[in-house]
Amino acid sequence: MSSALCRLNAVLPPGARRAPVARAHARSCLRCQAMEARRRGLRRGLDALGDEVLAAPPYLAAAVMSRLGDQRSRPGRPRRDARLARIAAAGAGVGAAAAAAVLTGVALRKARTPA
Amino acid sequence: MKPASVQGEERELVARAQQGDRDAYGELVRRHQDTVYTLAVRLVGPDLGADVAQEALIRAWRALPRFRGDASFSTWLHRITVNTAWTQRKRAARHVASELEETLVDTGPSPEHAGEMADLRRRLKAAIARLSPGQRAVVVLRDVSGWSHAEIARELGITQTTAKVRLHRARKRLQALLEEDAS
Repeated sequence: MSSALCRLNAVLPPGARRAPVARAHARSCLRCQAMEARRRGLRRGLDALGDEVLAAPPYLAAAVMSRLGDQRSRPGRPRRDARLARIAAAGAGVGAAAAAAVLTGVALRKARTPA
Repeated sequence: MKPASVQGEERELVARAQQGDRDAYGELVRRHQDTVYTLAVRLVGPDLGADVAQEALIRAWRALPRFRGDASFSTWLHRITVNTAWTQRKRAARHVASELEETLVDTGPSPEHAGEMADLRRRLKAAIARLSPGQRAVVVLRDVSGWSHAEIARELGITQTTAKVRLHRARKRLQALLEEDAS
């Protein structure tokens, strides 16, 4: 029973709601207490890492600034989606004109054909 | 939390940079390069860290006209960094753990860096370096940088459930690695 509760406490993430029996077991079991202490240590260590900031290499800012040149699209330049939409619209227009021409031709031919 | 005057100054720099002012962007780069670099190194290791940081800062410049200010500039910048690092995860995976360990150096002795905690941090960095890129990303973002599961899921392109499961496994592995190191 104890080892099952130990395993349960080990599997549940810290802060998860535990059954009263598991909580009571954790309070009295040295193994669970040791595990909890290790978890707290890990948590503290990770928190401490969060406060640590590494110094960027001295060349980083200069390297970034030198590469900004043409990186940003120029104002007024149509975006790719807009250009594609314009090409599609032009294509549709040409298609519609061709279809209209074909239909007109068919209609004229029918009109010329003697009944 | 930054003082209001600094936040206001930063907003002004961002607005100027959005209009194409490179000097303003240069100032933003100088202010944020260390945190961007730190995050990049933790995610991909020292060899690629500087490249990822550089690429992220350039991507940010390109994307700046679309920055709406919903989040703070630094949060937005860190998201871009994570995104950039994540696209390079396959390259990062090829780098050996020891290289990462070497550059995650302590910034210097101080009371809080002393004794047990300094030792734990050293072992922790070594253990983080031995995680898979996916596990390392969730641990760094959640436990070191304090991101929410939702943010992690969005930026890494995984579900929240996957993020939680991966985090749980990563913590267990970290614990195991620390115990292995201690014994």
